[in-house]
This record gives sequence, C-alpha cells and structure tokens, in this order.
Amino acid sequence: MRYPELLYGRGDPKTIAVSKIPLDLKDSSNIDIDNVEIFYTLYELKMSIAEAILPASLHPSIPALFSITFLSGEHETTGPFNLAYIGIACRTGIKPRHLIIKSFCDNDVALKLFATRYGFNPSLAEVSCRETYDRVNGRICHEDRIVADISIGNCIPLVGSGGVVKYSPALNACALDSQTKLVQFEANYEFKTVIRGEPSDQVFDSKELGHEGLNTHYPVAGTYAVTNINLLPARFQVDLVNPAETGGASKITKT
Amino acid sequence: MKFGLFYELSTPRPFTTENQRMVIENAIEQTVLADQLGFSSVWCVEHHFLEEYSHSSCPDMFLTAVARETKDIRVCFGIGTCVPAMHSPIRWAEKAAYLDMLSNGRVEFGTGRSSTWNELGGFEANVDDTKKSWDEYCRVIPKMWTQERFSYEGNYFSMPERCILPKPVQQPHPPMWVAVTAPGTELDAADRGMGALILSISDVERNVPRIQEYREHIKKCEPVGEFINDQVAIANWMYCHEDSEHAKQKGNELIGTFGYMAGQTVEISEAYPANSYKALGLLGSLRQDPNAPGDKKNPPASGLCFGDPATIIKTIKLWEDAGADQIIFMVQAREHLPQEEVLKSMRLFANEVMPHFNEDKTPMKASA
Repeated sequence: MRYPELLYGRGDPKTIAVSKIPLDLKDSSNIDIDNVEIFYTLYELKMSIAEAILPASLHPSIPALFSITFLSGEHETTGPFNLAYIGIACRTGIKPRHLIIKSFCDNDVALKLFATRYGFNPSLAEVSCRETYDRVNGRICHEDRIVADISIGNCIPLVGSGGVVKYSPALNACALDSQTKLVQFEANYEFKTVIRGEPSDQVFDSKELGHEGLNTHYPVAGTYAVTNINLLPARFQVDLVNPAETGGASKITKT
Repeated sequence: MKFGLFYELSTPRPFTTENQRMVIENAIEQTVLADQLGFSSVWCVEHHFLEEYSHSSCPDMFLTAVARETKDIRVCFGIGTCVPAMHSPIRWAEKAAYLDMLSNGRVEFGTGRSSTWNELGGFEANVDDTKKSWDEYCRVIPKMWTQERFSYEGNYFSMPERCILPKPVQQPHPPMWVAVTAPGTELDAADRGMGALILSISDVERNVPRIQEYREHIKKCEPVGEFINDQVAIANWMYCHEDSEHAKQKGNELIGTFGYMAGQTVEISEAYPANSYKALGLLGSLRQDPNAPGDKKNPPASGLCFGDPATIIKTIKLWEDAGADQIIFMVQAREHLPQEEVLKSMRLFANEVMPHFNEDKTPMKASA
C-alpha cells in the first residue's frame, strides 16, 4: 500500500543511470582512510525537478535540495584519489539520503573500489579539490571540458561540538540480485577541522552534472572538512518503486 | 502540578480547505473542553513551511480564537520566533499585549529562534545570528510593555522613541519563557529569569539534571523582565484510556506519525552547519536515523503519558519529583485519532488523573 497523500518521486526508473560494474559484497572489511578532505556544497532546487528525477520509492526533501561532494584521500590500496558526486536530497521513510545522479573519479582503482562496494558509477575525469588562503575550490574536468568549477569563500571555522557536518548517506543505483536497487554508501566520520563558506561557481554545466534542471541560484552553504573516514560494507538496499514504508528498504542479505 | 495542551496544528495531506479547517476547529474544540475540565494552559507553536508537521504560522490568531471561546485557560505563545527576518520585536510586544487585552490577562509569552532550514532559509534569515537576536528580543520586549515610551539602539533591532500600544493587562507584564531543546538552553533561560519550556520529549531521568541546574542558575539570574518566572514546563504526549495497552499502542502511533512528519523537515545542522546550532533541535532529535552509521538508537522515553489513569498518575509523579511545574500535552498528530477519542481521553484524564495532583490555577508568574 502506498500513501497517496505523501510526496513521492515521479522519475522513470529506466532513466536512472545504473552502474555497469557489479557489486562485490564478499568484502566485508572496514576501510579506514585518514585525513580525507570533503568539500560539500548544497543548493535549493525546484520541487518539480526533484520529483522528476527521484524514483517512486523516494520522497523529495522539503525543501528540495541537491549537493555536490568532493572526496579526496589516499589509501594504500588505491593511492591518492578524488571522487566527486552529485546527489538529490531525498528520504527513504524518515531517513535523509541523497540519490546520486552523477559521479566522477580520477583514479581507476578507487573508481572500482567505490563502484564495487557501494554501487557508484563514476566517469573517469580530472577531479580536484584545493584549499587556498581564502577559499576552497572543487573542479571537475570531463573529456577535456570543465563541467564544474565551484568555490566557497568568506569561510568561518566551525568549532567544538559544532565542528561536524551531517552528510546524508548517498544512494547509488546498481545491479543487485538481477534487479536494479539503490545501495547505500556507508561511512563513519571523525572530524578534525570544518570550515563553512558561501558557495559560488565559475562553471556549472547542469547537463553534464546529471540533469539540466539543476542550477545554483539558491546556494544554502558549503563546507570543507578534514576527517578520518571509516568505510563500512554496504548494508542497505532500497527498491526503485516500493517505498521504505511498505517494505522497500531492507538489509542486504549476503549469499 | 499544572496541565496544559500543546498545539503544532499538524495537518494531513492533501491540504484541502476541509482538512485545514478540520485541524483548527478540532483543536479549538479541545481547548474549550480543556478549559471546562480545569486544564491550565494552551500553548501554540509558530512554524512556517513545515508541510504536514505544523501549519501553525500565526499562533497569535489561533490563541485569540481560543481566548474568545474560553474563560480561564491561559493562552501561551509556544513560541514566538525572535528572528528579525520573521518578526520585529515591536510586533511581538504588540501582539502579545493585544491578546492579553482580548483574553483579559491570560497570556504567557514563549520565545525561541527556529531550528530548520525550511524556516530560516525560507525567510533568508541570518542563521548565525539567531541566538544573538533572540537574546536582544528577550530584553527589549518586556521594556516595550512596561515603559510608557521606548527607544532602543541595538545590534539586531533599533527604534526611535515611540509609545508601543496597547499595554498588557497583566502587571507588570506577561510571564516570559524560552523554548528549550538543545542541552544548555535551560541555563540561558535561567540566567535571564525566564521559564523553561522543555520541548525535548524524552525520559524523566534525562531531564532531572537539567531541571536541577535550571533551579540553581535561576537563583543568581539577572531577569530580563520585571520579575522572575522560575517555572519549568515539560512538553509531553498524552493518551488516556481504560485499557492501558490500547492507550500505549495508540500513543506509539501518535509518536510514529509525529516523527514521520518531523522527518520531512531539513534541520539546520543538516543544511547549514553553524556554531550556533551545535545540537539537534526537537525535529532533528525526532528524526534520528537508526540505520545510519553514527546515529544511536533511542530507547523509548520513560516520561510519556500513555496508559490507563493509574499508569499516567505514576508517570506524572515522576515528573513532579523531577521538579516539573507543568506538563503540556500533545493529544493529537495529523488527526490520527478520531476527535471523539481525543475528547474522551481528555475527560478521563481530568476525572481520574488530575484530582491526584494539586492543580494550581494561578498565573504562572512565580516571584516578584
């Protein structure tokens, strides 16, 4: 049974990009990566656009929002890597999530790691994240063209117990048990430093970033954090049609 | 121990005229019954843009309607938002005094600052300054009520000399309160000599040290008003039924409905991390995600008033021992319960529970 009075996505599940790299759920280890830089900007979005993108199992956030995340780190198995992804804020039941509609990575090995563990579907691209004396800048260059060049300025430090960012877990469309499912990115964060600033963009190619309806007219805020990350194995899957309220979200059973 | 009602005016989709009117009319009917049954207060929130969760954008208007339908029950802002992008403090002083006239001296004025991006972002408010503007509002509003003419030059509000009218009926002025959700805000209330309206719906045990610290701090306060309001009110849920298990089941349904609605909002800490919003607000605490790494599962709150009269009496005794002066109940969520069931629960509570407590109907003003 659905609850017809609630807001649901109305996106066509067939249009959601599905990772071609199969999930590998055999690896149940945690991965610790220290001193990861996370540059995260959040923007308001027209509700009609969010509804058009999200599948029927997800509720758009109110107000509708989308995020751009740059995650830069280095691990012994991957070497240095930069991952960037664009997400539409949503809910499964009451739980805030971001449906990832596009992602980019500059490292083949890391790309495969995030694809096989969490269903990311990154395009190989030049991705960078830099903190300078007066701003933080994230840039994505795909097929020799800059598709995103985003900064935050007028930054202030967030201190004490305020020095955290609540990232909603990402959901990625991928093949699981011969069906397309949304699989959740699982991570714990141990924040070292966090600054918050005002987002601005020099380049924002909405089409290349996942949907022509995205725009940066109403930025909410941007943060840059240095954090230790503990990556856990994927634990949850969400159906594309059946919402969490009616059993559409469940723990992944490893066979 | 006093008892009151607390209204969010949560409204089921679709937002038809019928649904919106039903919520308001049912709530007013409940307050009229509450007045007859001997409840002490009606509190009404101010929220904006919180679809389903709260359609109470104009608490002054709701409370005015209640005041004109009732005789004794106190009409309480729970709270008025003290953010310049939303309201001038002049307007709050005027509205509260006007309602004090219309209710013949039954107003309590709660203050707060909002905790959602839906609201602060919608008004393009400066999120970093809400605590500071709240502090300034708390200090000027009582002076607007008590001084014949008032002028002020501050950081978030200034005005040339004017006579702010009307003046309230209650002398020297209506009691002042602070909405307390984040840990530590009870001390902000105490330091200013204001009542603590504790909205974090939780266990009794968790609130005992908060209430104790409040009591200690308020002894040394510098009151923002002309008197100290040293009252602690606890927001809570209530559903009273002869069958305790049935009551608990219905109560859990109410909480589930309420939490689901809260889940539709975007907390400040999710959207706009800020030093001034270090802890989750009420809505955020209701939407903690048991499946997200880092989020903790909450045990069921021990202080909820769901059950038969004997069960509820025991629970209220716990709150009384903890030092609460008043419990204000939410009795409905998104019209989940039929109106007749809500009224029946209130009658049973008034007949079987309230006589066990020393219901004090005097105004909440504590000490001059």
